[in-house]
Amino acid sequence: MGELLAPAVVFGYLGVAAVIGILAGRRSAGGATDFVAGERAFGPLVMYFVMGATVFSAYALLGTPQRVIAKGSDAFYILAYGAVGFAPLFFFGARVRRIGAREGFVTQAELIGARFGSRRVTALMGAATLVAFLPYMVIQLKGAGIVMEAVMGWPPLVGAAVVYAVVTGYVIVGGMRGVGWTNVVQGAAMLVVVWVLGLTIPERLFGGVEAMFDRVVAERPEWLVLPGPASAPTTPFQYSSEVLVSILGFSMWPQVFMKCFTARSARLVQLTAVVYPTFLLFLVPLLLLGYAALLLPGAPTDENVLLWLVSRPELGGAEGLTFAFVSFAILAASMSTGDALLHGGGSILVRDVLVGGLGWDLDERAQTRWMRGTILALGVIGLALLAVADRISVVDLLLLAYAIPIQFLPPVLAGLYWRRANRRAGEWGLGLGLAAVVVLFAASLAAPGLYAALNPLGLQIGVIGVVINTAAIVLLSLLTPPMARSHLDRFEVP
Amino acid sequence: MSAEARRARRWTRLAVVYFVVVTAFLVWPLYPALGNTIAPRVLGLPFSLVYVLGVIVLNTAVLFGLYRARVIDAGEVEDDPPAGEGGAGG
Repeated sequence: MGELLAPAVVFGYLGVAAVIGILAGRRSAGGATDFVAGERAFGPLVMYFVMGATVFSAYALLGTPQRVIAKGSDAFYILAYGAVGFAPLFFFGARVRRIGAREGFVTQAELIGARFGSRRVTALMGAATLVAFLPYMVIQLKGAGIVMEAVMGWPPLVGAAVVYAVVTGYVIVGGMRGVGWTNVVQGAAMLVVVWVLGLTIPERLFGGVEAMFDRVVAERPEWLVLPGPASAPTTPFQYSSEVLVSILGFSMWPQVFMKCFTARSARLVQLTAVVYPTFLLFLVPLLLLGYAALLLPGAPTDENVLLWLVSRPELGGAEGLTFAFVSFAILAASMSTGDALLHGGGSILVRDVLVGGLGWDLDERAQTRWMRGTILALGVIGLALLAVADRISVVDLLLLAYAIPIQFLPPVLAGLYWRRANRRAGEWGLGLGLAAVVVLFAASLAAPGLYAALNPLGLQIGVIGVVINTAAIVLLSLLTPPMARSHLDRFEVP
Repeated sequence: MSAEARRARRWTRLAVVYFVVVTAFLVWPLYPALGNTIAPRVLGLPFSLVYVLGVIVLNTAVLFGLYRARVIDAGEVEDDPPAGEGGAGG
């Protein structure tokens, strides 16, 4: 085995993913609705892994141990927001699934745009989503690049391009079905690999999880509670705002929301929200691995820490089974999020921006062709951004990415639950919220002095946007007449 | 509105209130006051982590109860295929 083990596992896996994705797509009827929503046919098993694997990205795998070693217990924020983040989906997911099936919606922007009777809302949501997707895409590509560099010694850009050639291939051929069935494999693999390693590595290095934490308590106790290490402190207030913003935005991410439309039944959407925390518990071993690295001398504090840990000689080195399987798990995490972003981006550009927003007259087959072209283009743009990622900061772009989905919350909730909310309110609320985010983001980059004056408390820019957005929706809905009763009845469930 | 629909509505509101309250336990000022300590340790894990994991378990139990009791979207028909196909999947 030896030095060929990791490459064999990685390439074997890429081959399996490609075959599954393509075979799954051959069962498709070929229309755009099937390409986007898999004919709403996913059962519990596929649905579960689609949700879990989509949410847990290469960022979770590489970033969770890294956050532990850099910031200590601040890393628990991801568990804290996950504890509540899926609950909103339980409440509105079934309703969205039923309205979607009855009225033929397959994207979030279609549903909300139709509720407000506004093409502008559909187009705005679609375009904003694409902007929010790109930094996430770059992070998945970066994860794939890091793995291929560690395993093959290739430059990250080349490695990312090879992996994403496979991903783009099965998304284009397989559509949502391809994404779904590959996610089952990817999700199951990630769960098993990460749990096995999270328990065995502390055992092999320190004699067990308890013994490992005994040492952390003795040597690095500040890493176990807020505010964390003096080198990168997090105040309880900052921690709380991270948790709250993430809870509010979580269920609004279009690739998460969209999955409400792919479930076979409305009850199933609720069931997915119920069992979701089992995927959340998958972060616990990653936290353990972060603490394991913390106790070892010379651990890096960047996203290479996980691969550094598992390539240590006492764990078998870079030729060992542990290294091979971690590489595989990171790749699975990158691909299972990346494929959902590519698929979601293609669906959203065509259905929301071109057809729903700009009114292009495309039949189902033409839409599918356009989606495939868009998916390819998104893959290429992602790689191009990765190539210049040294010059533009992905962290900066993430600031913008986080602020966007929260702006969908007021129109989604008002649209689903408040009959008074009308077209003008939806358009102005969403428009002003997004405009505030863009202006603040631009100011933070180009005019820091102006930004400090506009945002004296240093709030997350999405929070400022959402306050303006909500105020506009509430005020305009109360001041202007409601929409026709017959229109509103389309968005009620009996 | 039927008695059943009123009951469902009351439960839905209670559930929403529950999730708002439980969120408060995860952030300032309740989390720093109640959860942000190393001891008592459970199975070796620090309490700061056990506290958050406890909330996850509690929320899962509550969501499962709400799902079984069918109180949210009470009119929802069971359009799943017959039992035995996949189960909870997790």
